[in-house]
Amino acid sequence: MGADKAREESDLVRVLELTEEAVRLKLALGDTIREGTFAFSRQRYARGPHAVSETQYDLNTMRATTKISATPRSIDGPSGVSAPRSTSYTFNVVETPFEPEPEPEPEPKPAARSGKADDDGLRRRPKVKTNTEKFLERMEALGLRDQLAEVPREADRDDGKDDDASPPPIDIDAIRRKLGPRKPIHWFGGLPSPEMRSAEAAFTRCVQLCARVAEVESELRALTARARVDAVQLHEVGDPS
Amino acid sequence: MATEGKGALISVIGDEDTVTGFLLAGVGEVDVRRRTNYLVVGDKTTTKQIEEAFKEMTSREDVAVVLISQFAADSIRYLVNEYDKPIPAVLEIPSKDRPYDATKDSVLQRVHHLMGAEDAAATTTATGAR
Repeated sequence: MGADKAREESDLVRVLELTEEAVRLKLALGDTIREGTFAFSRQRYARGPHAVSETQYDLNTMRATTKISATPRSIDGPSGVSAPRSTSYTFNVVETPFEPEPEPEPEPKPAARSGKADDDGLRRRPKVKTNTEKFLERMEALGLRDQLAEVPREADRDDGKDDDASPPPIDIDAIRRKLGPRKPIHWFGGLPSPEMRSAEAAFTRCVQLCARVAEVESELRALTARARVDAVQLHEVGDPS
Repeated sequence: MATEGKGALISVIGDEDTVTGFLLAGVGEVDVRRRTNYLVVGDKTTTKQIEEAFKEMTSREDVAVVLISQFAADSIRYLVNEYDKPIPAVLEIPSKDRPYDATKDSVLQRVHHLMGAEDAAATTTATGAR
């Protein structure tokens, strides 16, 4: 009974310490966030109201390079005091470098249809039908070949080029994927201004502070959960029925 | 678990400047299904949208921490208060024009209630011992 009382008292002292630290960290977090948003305001003042906005987010290649890892740890009472185990988490910021997406594997090309035996081992470009050949095939399929007054003269186009060839459309998304994701600061301009660098530094410190706050609150949750269990047990013991 | 080792994502629910700032720090992610780990709360954002985003982010296995501005948390206070999972951890953060209010923080409220419960239990025990 005495040991439990000692543990409860130490838990209570720890809860008060953690509460004070949590409030202090959150006030510091608020100051840092305000510092970053002031930098955004300076950027908007210099470059216009839309210099920093949601419309500039790069949704095609946005990848998280700042992550957080949560490692469980148990909270034990003072040495020599038996205590029910509670689990809290340690949070650490993890910086991951950019990893460009792997290019999709190209589809296997169909085998050459040269009509000749490939005994010599050479690969031949497949014969491309001319527009006239396509037209004649279509007429034959419709059964109208005989009605043609004269067979259209075939153009001597054996170079494989199609009359209707048009340049392939440019796939901007594929080019961006190949280049890889950009750092977020470059979404807002090719040459980041000092204000944007200042904002980036402020919010990077915010992420570190958030990890620390998460750790403190995790321990607070574990201690309050354990204290709640103790309070219920104490109430049951004190109940005359 | 996705939260150990290589790390897990940090989700953000807040105003435009707060979200932009954390994205600038490199926490933003858009997956192949065009699903984001952030929500910008503006004048036209409804409570239902905030609620759905909060539920989605707290149920994802690749998210370790959910940062939510206190003004957004106030609009879904019932959801934030009843959330009690250790991971993902939900942190209420201040925003640029609304300073941090410790009396509304769900974790600190829980501590406050606990203090009150402990006092009541101690009083009951002392009364029973007489």
